[in-house]
Amino acid sequence: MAGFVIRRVLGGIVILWLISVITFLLFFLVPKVLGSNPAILFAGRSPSEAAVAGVTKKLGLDQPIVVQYWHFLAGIFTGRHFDAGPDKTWCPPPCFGYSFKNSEPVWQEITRALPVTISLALGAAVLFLLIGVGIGILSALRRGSVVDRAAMTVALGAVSLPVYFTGLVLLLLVSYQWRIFPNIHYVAFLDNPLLWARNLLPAWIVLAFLYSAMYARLTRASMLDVLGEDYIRTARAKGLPERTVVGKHALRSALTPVVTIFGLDLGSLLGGAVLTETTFGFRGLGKTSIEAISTGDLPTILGVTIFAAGFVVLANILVDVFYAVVDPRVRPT
Amino acid sequence: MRKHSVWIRTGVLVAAAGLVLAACGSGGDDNGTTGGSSAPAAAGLPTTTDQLFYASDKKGGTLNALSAGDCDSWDPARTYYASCWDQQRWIARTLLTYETKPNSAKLVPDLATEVPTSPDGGKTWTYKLKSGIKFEDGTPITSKDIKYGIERFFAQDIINGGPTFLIDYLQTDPAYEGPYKDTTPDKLGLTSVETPDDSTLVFHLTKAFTDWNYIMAQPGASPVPQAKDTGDKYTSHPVASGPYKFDKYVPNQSLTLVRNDQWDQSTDDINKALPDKIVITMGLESAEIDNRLMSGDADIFLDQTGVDTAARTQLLADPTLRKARTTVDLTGFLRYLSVATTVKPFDNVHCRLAVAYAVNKQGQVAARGGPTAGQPATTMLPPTVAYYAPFDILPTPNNAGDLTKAKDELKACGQPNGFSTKITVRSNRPLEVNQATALQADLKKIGINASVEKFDSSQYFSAVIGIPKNVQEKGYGLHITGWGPDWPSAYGFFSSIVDGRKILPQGNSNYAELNDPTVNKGIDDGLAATDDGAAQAAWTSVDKAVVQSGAYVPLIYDKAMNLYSDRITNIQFSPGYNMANFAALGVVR
Amino acid sequence: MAVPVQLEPTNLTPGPPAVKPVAGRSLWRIAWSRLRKDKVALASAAFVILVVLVAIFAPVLTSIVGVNPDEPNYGLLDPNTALPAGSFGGMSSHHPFGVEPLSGRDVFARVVYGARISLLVASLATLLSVVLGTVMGLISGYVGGWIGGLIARLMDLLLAFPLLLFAIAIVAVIPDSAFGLNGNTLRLFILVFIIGFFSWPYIGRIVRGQVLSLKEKDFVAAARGTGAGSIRIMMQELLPNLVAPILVYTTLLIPTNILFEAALSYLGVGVKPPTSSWGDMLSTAAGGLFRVDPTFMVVPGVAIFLTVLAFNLLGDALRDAFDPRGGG
Repeated sequence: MAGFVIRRVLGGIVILWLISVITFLLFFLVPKVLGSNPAILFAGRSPSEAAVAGVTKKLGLDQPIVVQYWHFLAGIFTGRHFDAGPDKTWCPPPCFGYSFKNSEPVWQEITRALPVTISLALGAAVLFLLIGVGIGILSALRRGSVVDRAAMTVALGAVSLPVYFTGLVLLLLVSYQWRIFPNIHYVAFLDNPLLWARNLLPAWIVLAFLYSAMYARLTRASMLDVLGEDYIRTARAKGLPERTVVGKHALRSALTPVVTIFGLDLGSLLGGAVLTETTFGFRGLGKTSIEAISTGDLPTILGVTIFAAGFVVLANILVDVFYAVVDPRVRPT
Repeated sequence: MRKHSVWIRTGVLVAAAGLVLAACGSGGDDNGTTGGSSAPAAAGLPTTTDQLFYASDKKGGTLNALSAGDCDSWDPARTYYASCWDQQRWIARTLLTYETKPNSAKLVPDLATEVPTSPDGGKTWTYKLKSGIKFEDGTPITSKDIKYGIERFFAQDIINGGPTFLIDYLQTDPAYEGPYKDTTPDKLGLTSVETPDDSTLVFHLTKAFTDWNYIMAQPGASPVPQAKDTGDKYTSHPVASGPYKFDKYVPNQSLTLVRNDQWDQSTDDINKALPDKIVITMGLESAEIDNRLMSGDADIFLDQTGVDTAARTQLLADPTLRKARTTVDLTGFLRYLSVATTVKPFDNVHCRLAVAYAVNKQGQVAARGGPTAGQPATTMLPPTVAYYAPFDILPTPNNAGDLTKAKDELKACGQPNGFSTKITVRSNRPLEVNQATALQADLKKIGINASVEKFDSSQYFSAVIGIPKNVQEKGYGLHITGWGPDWPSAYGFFSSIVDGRKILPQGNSNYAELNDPTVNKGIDDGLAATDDGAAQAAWTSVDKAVVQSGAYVPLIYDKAMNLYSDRITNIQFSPGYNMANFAALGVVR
Repeated sequence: MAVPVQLEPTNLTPGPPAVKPVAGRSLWRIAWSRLRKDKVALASAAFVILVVLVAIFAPVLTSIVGVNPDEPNYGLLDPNTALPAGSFGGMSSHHPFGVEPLSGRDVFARVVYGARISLLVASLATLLSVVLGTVMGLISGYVGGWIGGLIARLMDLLLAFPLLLFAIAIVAVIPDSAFGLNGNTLRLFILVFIIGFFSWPYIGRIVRGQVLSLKEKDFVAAARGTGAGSIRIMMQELLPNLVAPILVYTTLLIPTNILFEAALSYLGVGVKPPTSSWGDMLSTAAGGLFRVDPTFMVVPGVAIFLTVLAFNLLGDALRDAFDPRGGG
């Protein structure tokens, strides 16, 4: 078991490392190959030659790409100096790069955006787990009933709606027409927990609508699979009460794939719910990187992308470990 | 002078103001009501260009200000947004500044004791400082602090992003490279600026420049204490010389300014410093900004680019709200099309004129949201700039384009069946993209197939259309752009965007690479003119020659419809920034 | 870990593949007879065909109605606000879905032309990912060993990417002409490549799983006994048995890719103007126009919804039809 976990963690680290290499090459090598100079992007609106040269030196853009990458990687653990002559900038560890556009370490931007993204993801997760799994179980137990059919029809509709369209419709109705949620903007939980929840609720609903539908479909399918298994039939044949059969035997196996997917979904949502954040104007990780992309703030894009990938990889590892605990057969993989 | 500074807008000299506004007030808005709709016309909206709203001297309260994004920098040497220059006045005082009167572009002394004249036709300028002026830490402000602030501009490898007029007119031989590489003991080695004593500054310009006083009203002419200079991190806490100082600053999120107790009202005739505190909330969506203003949660939108389409519709439909809390002003900003003279077939004037005739300027206005967003332009100088003279030398019916004339020009150009070209535009300016697609449709009617190429705004001027070699190689024939000058004079408007002698290999602002002897000579004449008549003639000849060249097609005199809270006081237009004068605002009626 | 990572805008129907391979033709016959009785499946298939026809014949259709997707009609706008004059976004018999704010372009024509982009990008991208996914899945499952392991890890790696962010970043760093292409051709090529490239592991994992179980079956062993080579076994024995699950997941991948394309357009990296796409129309509306002209937001939103729904319904029906456990 310990060996398995260690192998998985090492595998995850390798994947993260590969992602960082690919992302780094994409942002620092591709523009160069295709003929644009990243230094110009850092140097202001119409930079003089001196300004471009200064930025090139400061960022180390004149060094070989391998050296640049090494500085970036080492910076995450040891921090990094960006110096041009007497002008010194210190980026403390974990240094995910330094945004010259905002004159602050990328890590600072990440820590600022993270609470927004976490609030959005966790709130939505609570909602969609409760609703989605609940409906899924109910549907499976009442297979073919009116409730089942209605739930599955709505669910199929919900997974066919783009999250930003649902978001815009909801914003139009509750924020502008009925004015139940006017002035939606992010408020920190510690500043005002009530306002925090009130302003996040529409976005939670939008995300939960989509994900509940997916989880209802998944839970239902998984429950039906399990209920068809021999050991459940045996249990029933033995005359065990339905509650015991479902609650003790079926649920445990049926929810295993649900937890798996949940782990991955949460990892991906924590990496930034780009569309939802954009539509509602919440500056989480997703919106931060979209803005960085549109202003060409390369260090921020790079830092946030790698950080977000970290969430997904971490979720992968946790899910694998969870799987291994629940179902020993998968361990050899 | 290599700055396109799309952000900096300017207005009108006092002398020309009255006439100009009367002209545009009656003529300009008529365009908007041609459809005969029952909706309220744009005309008749309150405009701060001619009056002061809600005058009050009451102090106290917190001014809640909003902005779409953080300033490009809070370092006075690195900021280049008009709105940020306006905000700088809260924290930094400059040698000179603009008078606090509606629509006045008159310069008045701020740290200096008077507005000087040059004894030698614009090469030497001498300023005397007031006494009793101090930084926020109590240290007295001396002429050396201002010189040091100016020297910082020369360290372009570290301090960049701001305007470079100071370098253009003060650079020495051998080149000065800024205080960080300065080997003199006191780091004040820039020989073109002298500080004979603590209260005197003497500037020796490399060439005569009659508009120099305007440069001394820009944030660059504010003091920076050498002991507190943190290089490229100065933006996180610039040391205050003005009535407010940094209290809490979270980049991209918020800035709180509190009273600077070392600032002495008796040394300052300009700032009234009415609010006790100023809180700027940044990084908001336009819908949220309008919501907060409408509900009274906030007092002013600092970008001053106006409300969005949704709020505009709502305000136009609500006469009370509209009259009491909105203004519609010309912003002194011209939106125009640059037609690259170096990209085939636009090297032929007739092909350029074909475009000029084909474009439907009413469509351009609609693309930006209708008459409260602007009006069709026929001159390069906007009506708010000095020496503006109305003319229409390439007329089309109702400014809606003339396909017959356009096709004639195409024939004259030897391209009767049209050709293909590219329109460049900034991707994250949706209204400019609208303009580009409207233009694309206009051109298609005369057989010109144009593709629209979108670029991030961070690269658009620096890496796309500001590099002539790039424009030529990629064949970018048409550029959607706009311009407002860095200070309110015709020279300030024209010098970097049409002067053929200022085409630069990098950081170019004459995007079409127009090099027309009539234009070049007109600029020299205008600068040298000693009386109003000569100046007027020179600048009008420049304006006409530019339009006639077809290299630049004026599209829209930009307007902005701004919304304010119901408690804000002293709303007035400042031509120096082409927006409300922030330093005058208060929140107690 | 044979489950797809969910991308926020997409919604690949999760769960283990329900299609169990059955040698022979009977599966197809059973599936067909089940499908014929499924009214929802027939209706959604009809709608899918309709959308495809609309996309193909967009120019004909718009010229019959007498509208043009790129032609501004400033006369149809309120002169003060530049919003469509009249109620419901300027709907009229001539402009059945109204006109676009600020330009007066016909919304019907833009939606119809938007269907072209949507279907073109989604189907080409799906084709790319099916081909890649099948080949990689086959090799990974059948060959096994370190190559198989490497491919499986590669699929893990791709699925671990923050897809949407990464896709946008790629579009952002590629200049306006590259690889000998430019303009919209280049952009379409990039969109297809990005969407297809990031989706093949979904198919790849399913194929790999199927192959892993199939290769233990008797008929494969028998073929191996007769001395057939690996490639022949993959092509002749395995592939025919994979057609049904691949068909089902292809049908389910198309709507996912439609949503992916729409999301990229919504975030501003879709096709270039004036070419219309549904995501781009929604993005324009999201800028604030949706509050004053909801029609302009609802029309493209509903277009995406109905198209994606039809594909999802069809995919679900196909999966049920191929389900050997039957019933339901």
